[in-house]
Amino acid sequence: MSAKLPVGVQDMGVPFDVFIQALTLQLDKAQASMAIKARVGRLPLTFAVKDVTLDLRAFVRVVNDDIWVRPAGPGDEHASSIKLSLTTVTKPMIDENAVNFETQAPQFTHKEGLTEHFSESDQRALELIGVHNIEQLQDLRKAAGADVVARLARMPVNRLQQAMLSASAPRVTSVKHLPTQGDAPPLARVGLRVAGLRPGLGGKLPIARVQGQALEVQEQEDDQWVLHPLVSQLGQEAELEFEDGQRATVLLNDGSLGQWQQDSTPTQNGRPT
Amino acid sequence: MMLRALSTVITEMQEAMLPFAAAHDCGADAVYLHDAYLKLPLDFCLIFEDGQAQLLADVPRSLSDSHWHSTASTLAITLEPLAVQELV
Repeated sequence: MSAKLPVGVQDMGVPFDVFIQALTLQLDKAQASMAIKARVGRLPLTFAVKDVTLDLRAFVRVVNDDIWVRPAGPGDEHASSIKLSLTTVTKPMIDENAVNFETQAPQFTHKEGLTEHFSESDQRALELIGVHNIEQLQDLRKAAGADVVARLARMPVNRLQQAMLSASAPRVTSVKHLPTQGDAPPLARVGLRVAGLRPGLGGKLPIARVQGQALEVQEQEDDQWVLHPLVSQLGQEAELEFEDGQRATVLLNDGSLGQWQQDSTPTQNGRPT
Repeated sequence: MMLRALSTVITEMQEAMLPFAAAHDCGADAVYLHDAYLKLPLDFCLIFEDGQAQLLADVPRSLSDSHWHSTASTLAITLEPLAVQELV
């Protein structure tokens, strides 16, 4: 093993998934490098890696339910054999199997959805399991359970749930003043989004109030609800009650992130319980 | 033995095949290389670099370099001609 490695790492190796990532990273780099050279050299055809089969002599051990792998070095005897087969994905294969991605609201992309609530290392751990935004995290949590997500992402369950609870709180995505009509008091249009809840799928509209006064709520096609408060109510706290009994509060300011009420009924809907 | 990034080793193998790709592209020959299958003994090791694990590997320079391996790891790789626009 390399002298760059600390003694502990030389002895222990790395988790198996880290090893696989290291391997695929090298294969991707090789393929990308070859593609660049072919494009720069204006070659219409090149020899690309089609399949790779690795028969790795390594020592395997289980540490805290994780499989750790250390490639056998000089003088190591009785190493195990790990066989890995990988194949290359080409552009036609991607085109053939691609699914239509749902457009993400720009206000609730990865940057604003995860970065506020997860540390960089946690975000990286989530990205490694294919989670790049709160919706994907919610979907995975609903399909596999928070404990599975936490185990895959190697983070404590309570930290994951706490971060998801904050990240999935209602968010004001836009505030616009509407033109006044006659003597009617001026109204505003407030876009509201809740990660994991998708208006337009036939769900009941939430109830919104500001200081006890009900607000008109409409459903939008772009995964948002629209509230119509008076302009004078902007900046005040709105109380929201959802179909499943969950309650939240949010300030009617652009970009404001709300909070779930602790005493609201636990739910099996898109939000953590 | 100095090991290099596995990608460097694979890239060298691919570059060695480029003349065959050029010949294939010309279409002048009636017979062309359909694919190449290489199975090589490799030494592997892992280092941590740039915040992640990097896999280093290389072929033994000679059999005497690897006599201490009772059974060496092997990498089998299939290379085949592919249109550049089909690469991701």
